[in-house]
Amino acid sequence: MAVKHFDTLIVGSGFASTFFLHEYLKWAPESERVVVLERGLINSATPGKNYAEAKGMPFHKTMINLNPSKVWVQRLGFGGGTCWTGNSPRMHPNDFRTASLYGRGDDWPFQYSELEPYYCDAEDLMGISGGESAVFPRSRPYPLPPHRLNGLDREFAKKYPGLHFAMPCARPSAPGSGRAVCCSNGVCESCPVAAKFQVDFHMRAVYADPRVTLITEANVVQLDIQNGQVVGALYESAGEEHRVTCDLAAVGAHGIMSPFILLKSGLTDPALGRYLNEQIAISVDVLLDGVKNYDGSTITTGYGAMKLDGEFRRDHPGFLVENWNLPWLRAERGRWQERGYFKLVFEELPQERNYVAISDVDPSKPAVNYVDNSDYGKTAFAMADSFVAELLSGMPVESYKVEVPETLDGEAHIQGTTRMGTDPATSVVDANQIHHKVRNLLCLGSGVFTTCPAANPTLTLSALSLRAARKLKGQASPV
Amino acid sequence: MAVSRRNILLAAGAAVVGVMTYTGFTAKPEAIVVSILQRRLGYLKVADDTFQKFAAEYILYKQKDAKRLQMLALIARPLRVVTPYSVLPQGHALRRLENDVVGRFLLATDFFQNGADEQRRLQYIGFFDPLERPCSNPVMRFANMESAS
Repeated sequence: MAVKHFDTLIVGSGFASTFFLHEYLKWAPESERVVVLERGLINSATPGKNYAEAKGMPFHKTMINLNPSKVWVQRLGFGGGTCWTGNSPRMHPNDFRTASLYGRGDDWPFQYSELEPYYCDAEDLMGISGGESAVFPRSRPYPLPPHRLNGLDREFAKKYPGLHFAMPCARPSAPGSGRAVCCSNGVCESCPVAAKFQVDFHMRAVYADPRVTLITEANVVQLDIQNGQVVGALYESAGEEHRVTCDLAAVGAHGIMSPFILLKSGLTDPALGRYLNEQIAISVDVLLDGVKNYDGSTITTGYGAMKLDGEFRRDHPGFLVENWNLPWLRAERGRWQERGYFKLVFEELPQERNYVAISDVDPSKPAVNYVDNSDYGKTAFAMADSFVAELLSGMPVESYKVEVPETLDGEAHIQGTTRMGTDPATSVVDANQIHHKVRNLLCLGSGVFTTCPAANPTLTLSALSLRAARKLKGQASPV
Repeated sequence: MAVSRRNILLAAGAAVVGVMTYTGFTAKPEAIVVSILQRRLGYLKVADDTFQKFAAEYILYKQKDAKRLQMLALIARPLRVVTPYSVLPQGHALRRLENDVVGRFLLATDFFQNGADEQRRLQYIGFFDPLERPCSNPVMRFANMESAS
């Protein structure tokens, strides 16, 4: 078998890997050779129905789920999790230090101010639509203006001035991003007008760089680690085994496959594969009284930060309000639009007992054992009714129904299994996402999250990837 | 067989079960959709076959629910007269069905484009499926637009 050598090996081609690669190539020499090994296929169907039907590999078949009541949502393929809706809120500044402030979880190894410039760069690359907010201090404005709020948003904004505003998102609110303006189709997973930012549509140029070799349908079995250094990888393609050698490796599969590959490679860090987590969510169906809704300009119009941060986080999790704008009408004459739907998305505490391991039954697959939510997280369900009652009190609401999931459900945000920290006993990578012991190995993606904030992870993991590449190249500040 | 009250009741019961079974096997799932539309939107000015046309497209779209809708067709006729919608709890399956059928029908027409004017004759545009017919959400408003009337 011929073994090809590359300077850099990247596993996966989703947001984490692609943003890293985009930044890395800025400083890499002309002679640099990068290989990207992607397990899935390129979905070359046209946006819309055809794209939706070319879903690729069923995610659940790639693992052994030891607790079927926990659902794991992801889509495999070039460009990564294209099940992404495009919501792009930042983490709250206090999300980086919940241990110091509230005695919960762990502090991240750096603070919001450190990540802020990279947030801006990631937002520029994605063409995010958003508005100013005191909740999230910014050094630069968003590239596009905020989306239009809907009727229910306007009521929230009236009741909670400064704490309810347009959801920052990768769905253009106006021309200027080089993509179509979002027309609120509500089927973001397969945006029929390719308005929503996606790696596979809008970052293909990175893979057209002559220094980059993309190999799809390449299932990485393990890295070859010798004397504390990654020297290559073994992967399967079309039933055959292949090897590559490399000087640097970055693993950016998702939060289940990344730790699995590292475990298969012989790494034994105590935290590797552990602390698997994602947010907890409940939804609310509201019948409004005299308020016409659904007149916003995108699928999720509003972001509520009224209970995102505060001393209460010592006792129960903070949450963000995600207000939706899908036209789910009401069958009552003249009141068709007097209805709303929003979600409360709660932070969660990562727990060591929830883990990814090598399956005993089929060692070619990860065993995923999510035992349960934390007691802290469970208070979200216990207090759901009182949270919603408080949110809606005094608003023009006729009635509402709180929907608490009957199973553990899934938020499509797989996090925490290669977590970042300063202590090798409880983390896998350092503040620059480099493995504590294997110093030419980086972990990318939401697996590195130290905690589980309420925010959707894509923007943060993309900003982290930009930062990791820049730190690696010794570039102190964004260009 | 003696004509007794018991036998009459048994015969009537058997007849009801027979009719329901026959209806269950022969009912078309479209019937429940048409009944909901007639009950809810019968006052709108639409071409005669519009509800039927929509019902056929709705069932095609909801293929995985076709069996359930066929069973519900048993109550299609009484539903034209009376609906328990207002006494059912929010989130009840029947309420959700009525909301969905009525909502999707209105979105499939020019009703909202014309200011939800009940006096205007409705035009049926096509089933509301954004994957097939993008940018056809009639209630959304772009950031730079005026509010809906």
